[in-house]
Amino acid sequence: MFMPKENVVTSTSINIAPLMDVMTIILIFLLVNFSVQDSSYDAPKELRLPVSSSLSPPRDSIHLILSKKELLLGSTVVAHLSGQEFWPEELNDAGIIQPLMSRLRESAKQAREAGGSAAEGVGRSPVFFQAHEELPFGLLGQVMRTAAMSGFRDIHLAVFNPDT
Amino acid sequence: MFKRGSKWSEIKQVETDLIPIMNLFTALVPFLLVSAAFYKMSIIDVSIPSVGEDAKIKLEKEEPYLAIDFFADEISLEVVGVSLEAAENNFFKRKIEGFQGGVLSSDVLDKFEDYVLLVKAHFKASEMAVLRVGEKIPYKNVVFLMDILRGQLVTNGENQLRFSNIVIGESL
Repeated sequence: MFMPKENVVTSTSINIAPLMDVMTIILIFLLVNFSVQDSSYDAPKELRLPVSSSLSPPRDSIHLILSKKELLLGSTVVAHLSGQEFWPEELNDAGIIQPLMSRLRESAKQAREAGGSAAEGVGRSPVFFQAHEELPFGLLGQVMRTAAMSGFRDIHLAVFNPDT
Repeated sequence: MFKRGSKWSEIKQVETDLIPIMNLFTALVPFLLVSAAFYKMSIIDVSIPSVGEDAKIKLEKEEPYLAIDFFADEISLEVVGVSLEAAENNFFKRKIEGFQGGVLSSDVLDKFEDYVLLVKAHFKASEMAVLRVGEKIPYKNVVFLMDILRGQLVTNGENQLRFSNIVIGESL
């Protein structure tokens, strides 16, 4: 017997329950990971940090980045490199990086004015220093000496611990 | 008496509308994926000494400290302190050689670690190591030495650093 096609209506619906399960697991993992992040520091893509077994987490502090091309204070370029040396016009006779020193002294002054006394504020405030692993240590020494001359004697060298 | 067609047979199938929650998940998951840090950084805490007579006097009053000079082809080691006798001073004066361009082999690192453990065993209260590094030495190799200097000692069930105070001296 002939039966018209239109009368056979089948209701189909996609089962999204498994997708919901997966999404829920991913969401929980990401939320937990998000909540345990210690700091907002991020390494620039071209910067390779040295490998270390250190477990000490970074703390909020003044942020210096030394790549193969330039030195940054936060996101501001304060000195340039050609080859593996700072531009001579940015250095004084003692090898101190002038633009960095003036900016760090400005930061120190601001920190003093913000409340801390000279003794407790500037000298104890650390500098978080990220530098490319292949750079000669003399360059890092120049940056650290400049920071010390500006009142920042504690340096936190950023390293990458593959076990964490 | 049980009556057919009662309220038991009238249960309707109700479906939850999952579309809004799916929309929320689709927005949240990419946001969290982008902002999540899968690359964790650590720090090595070092300090730069203050210059001048006061600093020298302060240094002399402290416990004996380990002085390391890292050249391109040699590591020179010494324990410095006012309370040290000449014989002790001579005993702890060492040189580690057998590498070029500051590139350290595992053998050199082992010798350095043995020395650090020897000094730490002898001067338990000493926490300072003064590190002077050649200008051309690659940074990553200096970090290898710092790692060994800091190390991890388990004392009375507590993790402690061997030399917690690493001071960077002037360049060589």
